[in-house]
Amino acid sequence: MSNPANRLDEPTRRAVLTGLAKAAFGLSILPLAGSLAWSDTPAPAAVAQVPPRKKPASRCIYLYMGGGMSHIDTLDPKPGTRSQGPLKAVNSKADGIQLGELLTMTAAQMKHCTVLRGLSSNQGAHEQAAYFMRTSYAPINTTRHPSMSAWSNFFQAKPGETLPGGIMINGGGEHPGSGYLESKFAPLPVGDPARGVTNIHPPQGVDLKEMRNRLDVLESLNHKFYKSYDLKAMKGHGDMYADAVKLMAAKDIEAFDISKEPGNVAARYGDHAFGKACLLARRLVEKNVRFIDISHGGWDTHDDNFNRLKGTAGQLDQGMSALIEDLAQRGLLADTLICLVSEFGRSPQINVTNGRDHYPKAFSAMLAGGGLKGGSVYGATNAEGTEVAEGKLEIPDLNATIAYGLGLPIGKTIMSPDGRPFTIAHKGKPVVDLFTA
Amino acid sequence: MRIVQRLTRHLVLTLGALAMLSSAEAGKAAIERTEQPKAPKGASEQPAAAGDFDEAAIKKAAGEIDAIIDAGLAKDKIKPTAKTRDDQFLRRIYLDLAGRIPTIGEAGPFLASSKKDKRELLVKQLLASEGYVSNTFTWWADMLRARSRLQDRFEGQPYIDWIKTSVRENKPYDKMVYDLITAQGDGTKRGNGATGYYAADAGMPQDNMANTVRLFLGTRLSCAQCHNHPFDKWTRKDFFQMTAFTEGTDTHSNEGEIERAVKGLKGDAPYSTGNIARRVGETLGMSVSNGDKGEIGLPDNYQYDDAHPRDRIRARTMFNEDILSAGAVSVRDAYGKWMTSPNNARFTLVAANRLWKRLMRIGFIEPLDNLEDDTKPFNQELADYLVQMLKDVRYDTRKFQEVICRTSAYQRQSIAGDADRFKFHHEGQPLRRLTAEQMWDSLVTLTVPDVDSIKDDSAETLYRFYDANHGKSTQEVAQMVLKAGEAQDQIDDYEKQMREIRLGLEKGGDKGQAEAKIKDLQNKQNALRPTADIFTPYYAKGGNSVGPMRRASELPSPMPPGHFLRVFGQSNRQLIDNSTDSLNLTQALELMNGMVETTIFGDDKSALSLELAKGRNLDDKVLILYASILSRRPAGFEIEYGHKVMALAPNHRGVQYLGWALVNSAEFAFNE
Repeated sequence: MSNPANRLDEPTRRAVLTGLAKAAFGLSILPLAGSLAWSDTPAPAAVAQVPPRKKPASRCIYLYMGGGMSHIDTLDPKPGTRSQGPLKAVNSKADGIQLGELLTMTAAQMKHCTVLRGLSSNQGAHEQAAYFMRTSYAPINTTRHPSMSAWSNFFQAKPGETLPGGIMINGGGEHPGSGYLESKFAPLPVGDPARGVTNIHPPQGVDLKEMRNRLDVLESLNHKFYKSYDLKAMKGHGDMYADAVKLMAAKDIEAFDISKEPGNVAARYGDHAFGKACLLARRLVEKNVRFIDISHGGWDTHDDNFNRLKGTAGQLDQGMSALIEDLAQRGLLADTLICLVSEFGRSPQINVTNGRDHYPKAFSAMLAGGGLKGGSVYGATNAEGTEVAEGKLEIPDLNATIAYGLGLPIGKTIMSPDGRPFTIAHKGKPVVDLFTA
Repeated sequence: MRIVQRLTRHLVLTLGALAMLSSAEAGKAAIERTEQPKAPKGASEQPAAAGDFDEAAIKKAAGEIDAIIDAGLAKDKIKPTAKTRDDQFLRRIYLDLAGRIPTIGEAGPFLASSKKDKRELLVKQLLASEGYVSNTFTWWADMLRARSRLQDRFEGQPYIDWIKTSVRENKPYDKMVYDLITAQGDGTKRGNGATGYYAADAGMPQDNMANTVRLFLGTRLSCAQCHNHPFDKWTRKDFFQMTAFTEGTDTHSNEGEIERAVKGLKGDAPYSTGNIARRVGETLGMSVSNGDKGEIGLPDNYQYDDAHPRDRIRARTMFNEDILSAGAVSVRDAYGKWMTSPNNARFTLVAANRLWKRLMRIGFIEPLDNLEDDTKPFNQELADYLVQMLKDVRYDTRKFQEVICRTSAYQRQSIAGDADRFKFHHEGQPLRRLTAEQMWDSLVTLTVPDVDSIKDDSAETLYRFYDANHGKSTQEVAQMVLKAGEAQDQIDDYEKQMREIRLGLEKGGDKGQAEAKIKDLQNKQNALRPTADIFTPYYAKGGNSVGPMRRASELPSPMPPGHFLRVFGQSNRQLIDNSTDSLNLTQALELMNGMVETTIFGDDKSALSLELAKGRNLDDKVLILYASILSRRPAGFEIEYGHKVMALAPNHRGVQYLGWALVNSAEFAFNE
């Protein structure tokens, strides 16, 4: 007899047996690859066949500049040309490489960095371009592609991890998350880096024992409803609670608390959301969180570009340079790939309101750490920054390079649930030479 | 078995009685409303009449829609699910129309009623409710990207207020769209908030046009902004011809003018005047100008043979129609009339599809905003019928939705599996998660009584400020700004002094004396605040007087990242329909460890605590919990189980235990 009432008997005694309570005792419930088909068959010829990197970086910090970062004012200055505008260029610690004056502190860390000046995208609207940058695919209305963070979770989660594999800080609704992969592969959002993961402790007055009992009651109550519906979303609902409980019980959870940092350290990163996010990223990297995704907005400077950038780029400079410096000092940088990207650049031409407009045709990104040769530039634009002159990288090429650096299988074909073949970086070809090995 | 039956019979009686007993007024009011639907509170006029589409027509239309759907089911030999039980229907219709779960006072009378037409009456009642206005605001706000700050420059509250007012007045859909795309003039002027439609894209007229076409014509033109569309027929020239209709439209602020005037009054104007001038300029001086040339110059990089770079071209519709020649009143009027005309096939098709999808969860065309010439609805007959019906009700969206809610197709139970959204027969409703707003608003319903009556009044403050000051000269405004700036600088200076005193204290000093000084400085600051805040005389109800526990529609739009609403996927309102229903574990943390415990159960004045206090025994409490949270009676075995759960902890904590589990349950998280 399948009377659900039978399931609902004796909540306390059964507590230790349920999955949720088990999680609370510290056994992890893992997002391991499984339910989705992926094959070892070679990808279509157009996809780069490159042997995997021998010693890939094991962690990634992905700094996403929302709105379109003006490359000429940051990574690709053009002193002495019409394009430059009122801001100056500064020399960096690497011979012959200049950055915009707003990145002075970053320039001091140049030996760890590789600037990519030949980026080119065909997407000029924010939404589409951001999606393209994060997924290597143009947005289509019939499916959602996974972000690099989700790929990392999908392929690289290991047994025993208690902190989530992917964290997204200051991010918003524009992030593609897990795409067509199961929702458990999506990065965990942290809205405010100063607050860390909110609601991580049981409510006041509720101890862990009571929490276990409550979870057991919850599971009993859900039993009938779960059985009535055979849905992806329903499975996700159970997973979501299991993951939440796992995190509550994780011993490394204090990594999320940046107030544990000494005041002088926090001050170097800056008293702003981006700086705090970088500080949190450093703490998480120390606990082996694999993929940390930080968004920093304010780059859509159609007017008053040069004044507005002082704040936006200044914050970037402060947070990112402190992050690179600290990771290097702790011996973590070689194993952590830092990516600085934006959906597109901004026009070399300065418009009538002293702004710069969207410019996907030629722009820049920067990589740091992660076993890069460093202190170098790959690619270049012409004198005025209007065209890519050499070392052209399409967005999928950039993503293939990042994925290669992280040891993700760019050559693998993954079938989405509706049976369409995709690869991590579409048809992108990695620039293998950027890395030492 | 017999015990369970007896229990259930007992409960049927108890629930109706209890609901009325526990909140006699609400129960009575609900019944009265059920008898006789009234116009919503605060509506300035009766809902516009939808022609002669009367009760008989509604009934007939619902039957005809069902006949079309049933024929499709029969043809493909698909068996529909059973009709919803009353409690399933109740919860669904509240979530779908009012955007929240019903209170126990609303649920009780409906479940207890034996009236044959109680569902029809409830639909009418909810469509006329303030809950509907709140819920429908969210629908529009997601489409229109209505933010409290527009382009991070202009006040969005008048825009938000305009949307709510339009919904409350039941402004027909076509009229609403016409008002939006023809909006011009002062944005803070009472009743002129539609200007927010252009202010939201200030400085980006091409994006605005791409958004307009996607929203109201279901077509993606944005690719053609830079090049001919790779998959569809649109050329870059088509795009610029369309953009010519709004070319020259711009949103202004007169902050520069005010700042100059302030400097004229006082050379070294206080530091704070800059900020205040900006705020005043962007409120008082926010204005949308109307280009009205109907012409545009092609960009320098125009790359096709059909025109040259920098050519001036005339506005034509994207279907290459010339609508300006035939004695148009103005470019904008011609454009608005063309867009919203019943003859503009895609306009009505997209509107009907959006409204259908809103209630039926899957559109007759999916996705709803990527139409191409060869796009075919899965059920052509259904699409044709609904398009005609929207015209017949003269774009009265309430009437249109009333028909849908009355169909058997809407009232079926949920299907057990995932629906195929490209060929869906409507054999039952696809299960869906509560949206961020539905989840939040439902929890607020459990927290504060009479939740729909709590209103945000920030637009009113702006209107009053505008009314009192827009006639003033720049000189007079500059005087105001200067005065406020001086006060603000003084406040900031006091703040600096206080910091110094505190620093001095750390190095050792007389604590009592320092505290007295600080107190004195704080008093001085407080005395200056009304002068420093230029809006002081105009606050409605003395400022932001309502607390944070109010419906999503009455909170800032969007809420900042990290708020409950954003955690559950509220749109950032930067992109069209950008809300998400993806799951992540912070949602579970929020429900397990967040406000549910403290705000709903921990507060003995919460709406649910007040209800629970009326329960005489544990049976009552189980019943109140199930009826309040899941909008249904507990089954016999659930009552028995509830007793066991409540026995796990003494007194109220036991109740809290069960309540916590019900709020966290999958049944609460989904709309069946």
